[in-house]
Amino acid sequence: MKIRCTSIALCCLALSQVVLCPARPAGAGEAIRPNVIFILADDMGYGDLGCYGQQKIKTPHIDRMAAEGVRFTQAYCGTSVCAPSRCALMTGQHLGHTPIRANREIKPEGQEPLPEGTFTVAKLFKAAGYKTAAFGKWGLGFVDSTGSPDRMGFDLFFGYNCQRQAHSYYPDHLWCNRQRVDLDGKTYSHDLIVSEALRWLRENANSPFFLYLPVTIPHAQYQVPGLGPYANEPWPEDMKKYAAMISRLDGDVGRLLALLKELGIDERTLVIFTSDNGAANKAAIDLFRSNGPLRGMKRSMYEGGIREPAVARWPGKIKPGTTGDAPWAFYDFLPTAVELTGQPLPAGVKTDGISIVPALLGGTMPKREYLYWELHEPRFMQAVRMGDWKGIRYGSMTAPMELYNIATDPGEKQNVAAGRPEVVSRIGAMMKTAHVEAPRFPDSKAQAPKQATKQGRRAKKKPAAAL
Amino acid sequence: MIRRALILLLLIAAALPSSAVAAEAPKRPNILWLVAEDMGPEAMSSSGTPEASTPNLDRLAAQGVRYTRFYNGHVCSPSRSSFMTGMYAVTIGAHNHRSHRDDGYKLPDGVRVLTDRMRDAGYFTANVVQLPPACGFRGTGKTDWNFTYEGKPFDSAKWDDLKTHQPFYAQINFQETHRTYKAPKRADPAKVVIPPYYPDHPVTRADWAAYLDAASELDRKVSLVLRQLETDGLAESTIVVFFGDNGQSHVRGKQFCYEEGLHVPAVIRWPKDLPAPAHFKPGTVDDRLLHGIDLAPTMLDIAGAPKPPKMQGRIFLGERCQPAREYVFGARDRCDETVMRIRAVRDERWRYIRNFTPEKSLLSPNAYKERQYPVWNLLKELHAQGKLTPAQDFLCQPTMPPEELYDLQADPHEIRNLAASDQPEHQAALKHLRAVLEKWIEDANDQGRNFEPPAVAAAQGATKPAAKAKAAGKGKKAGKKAKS
Repeated sequence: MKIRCTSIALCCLALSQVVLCPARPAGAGEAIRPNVIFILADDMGYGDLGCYGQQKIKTPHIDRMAAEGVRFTQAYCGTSVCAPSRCALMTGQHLGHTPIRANREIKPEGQEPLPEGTFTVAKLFKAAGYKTAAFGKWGLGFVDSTGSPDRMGFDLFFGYNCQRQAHSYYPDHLWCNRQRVDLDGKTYSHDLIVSEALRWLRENANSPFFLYLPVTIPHAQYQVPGLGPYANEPWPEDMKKYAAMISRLDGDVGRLLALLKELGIDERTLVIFTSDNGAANKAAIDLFRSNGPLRGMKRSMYEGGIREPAVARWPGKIKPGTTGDAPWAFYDFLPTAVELTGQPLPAGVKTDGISIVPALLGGTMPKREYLYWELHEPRFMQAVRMGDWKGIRYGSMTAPMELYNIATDPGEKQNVAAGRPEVVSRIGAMMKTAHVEAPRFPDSKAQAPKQATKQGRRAKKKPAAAL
Repeated sequence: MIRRALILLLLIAAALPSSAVAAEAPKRPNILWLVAEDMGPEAMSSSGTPEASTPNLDRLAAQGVRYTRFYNGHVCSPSRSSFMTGMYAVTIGAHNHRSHRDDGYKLPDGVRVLTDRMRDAGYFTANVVQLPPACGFRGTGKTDWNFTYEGKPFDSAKWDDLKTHQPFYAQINFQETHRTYKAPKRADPAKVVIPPYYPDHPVTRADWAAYLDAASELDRKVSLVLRQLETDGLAESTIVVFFGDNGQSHVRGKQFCYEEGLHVPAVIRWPKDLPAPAHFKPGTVDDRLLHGIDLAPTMLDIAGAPKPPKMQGRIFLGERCQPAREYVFGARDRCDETVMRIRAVRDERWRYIRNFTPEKSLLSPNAYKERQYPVWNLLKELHAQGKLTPAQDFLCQPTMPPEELYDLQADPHEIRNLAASDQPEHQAALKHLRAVLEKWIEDANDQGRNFEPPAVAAAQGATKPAAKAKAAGKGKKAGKKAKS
């Protein structure tokens, strides 16, 4: 009698699970499921925005966004060059684990593709029932490769598939998923990309969406339809264009935020603005202090290569005018999306990151053991941040380490490795653990002596086998 | 007993994923046909033709499969009547161009338009005329059937309806490659290659370049449609089929049974996320002998519907793929005011043509061609001046050979008629294909064996007085077929 009742009760419970359970697992009811817009500038430095101390280039809309949201002082990209940095952003893995470790062009157009089946943050949002789109520069797989954006979780991609094509702002074509879109060569691509993105935003305002906006400003070439307020500045022409491009992008961020208000989805949308790696142009770094007080630039492991401006806004959730000091990196975006959507990672998918939702919402971030970066061009380099310590190796995994204390020496001027062997040893162990060889970027090639060139010079392009 | 059942239920329930209730049946793919008019495979740049430029069609082919030996009818209306029913035009009496427009002629029993069958299978059907503004053009909505259809053959003419009605079977009909060519100039007439049976002359070259330009314009429009598929989120659930209704509109092209009248481009792209069917390998070229009538049963099979018993087409994709064709047949009957009866068959290597009206010259009067084909008149002029090569002169003879045999491997341009050759190999091929063709004429119940009443032929298919008068007037306007 007793057993029968228990059986019946258990059956009812099981059946209720089947019948009543929604597609998301238990506990998902807590997820807020905001829209997420991730705006990624290209080669913008830590000091290029007004809210980060920029004196000459005007960025009133992003500054206001920071005033209405949170400004992060220790946000890091994936690594200090475009494609691998974006790889970390998409995959939630740091550069010791990502499949892409350098820019690698695959002729005639496109870059080394993400491998088949790579799990991405876009796929996560899709699994959570979001509409997903990307507008701008992709760089993670040529059209019809395993890594093309429409295979990597985006319902719609519009823009440059190839990073090299993206050097010109007046291209003769862009891509809409697998379909080439021919242009007249006179259309300013950034404007077209932004207007298509805003149009998509309008059309999808009513469903939860993830909009990834990797614009190409202010990556070279420096081209812009008008110099705006900088026309008469006593700067070289290129620098006027650089400033005008950034201000133009700032204006577009303003348009996007205004559109969210107009559509009534302001309070349901988290907007993040950041850059893929540090500033790339010496003249801009000198004239505008594009990397702020930081040392180094794009293609370097110094803070100037990897620390990024990062501003987030979410009315009603993020406290206006806050500053976030907890260090985080691009590979934290995936677990952040997990927490925001309540959608778990699929079985077998791991991430190196942790959710930055606490940092966004003014809570305390859990302490993390370390952050890790790596890059294979122009030569092998790796870096770790462990608390306030920053360790860097150039050339090989056995090269002598440089060690800096970021708190006391933010400009990384004093290499204290000699006096701190125990820190060097600990960081060395972390580097060893963090680094796993990438099948497409073998360690032996990355550390080969003939590849050692002066830092900042472009690596020789290896002809890779087409997939 | 009850306890055991309950425990079993418990175990089953526990094993089910929590989303089991929400599971969907697998969705059937949409199908989009892009149909060109009067376009041969040479107009696609992937065929290697100098000055041809069709990058979007080439890319579509690279993403899917390009069929190099796909054949259709010889002129639009019999061809369309045929591929829309999966039946040879000669079998269903739709073989005369623009016939049965006013006599209520119905399809034979057991023969139905493909859209009827797709609807039965649960598909929404459309012949798209109205495209979204971003495309900047309209489909022609062309049907052009030589039989009466009662009711509406398609559910919609609007692209927008496709977004909300799936699965769909839709067509977009393009007019670009049908004369009069009006595309922006791109091909260089000095660099095009003229086949040996046309005189190499500036007029021929300019005309050929204009044809290639028309194909480029069609290609541009195709790219806009493909982009629209992406933008509307339909690309990954829609099979795209591009093909031509008949060959190039040229002196020896459409309306005749040489390669260039019957051979059309065909490309199929399968959605990359749907498992490709058997006999389909994306990124490859398929050289099976195929006919336009094979599309209908293959589409029905994709839709999960059985192939209708009488359908003459063959399924060429998937598990129920039928044996490859050994032969592809062609047929030409009255076109406009020109009555000829020609039948043809090709196999792997040979093309055999049988002319039942050899007393008619190839350049028999045809108002449409006289107005539309610059080379038509050029040939006559140059022939009068004795300036043509033998292959070109062949076109200007007062009669045509009753039989022609061409070795397509040795003579792809079909300028060496081997019907009179005494070489054993040629004789064997001739006898064999003559027999094959005669058998087909029987098996297909070739309605062309009975000519139309002369009055109907003279009225270009019209059987009623008012329509006859209209048709007589149409003979004058034949050169100016304007398409919306």
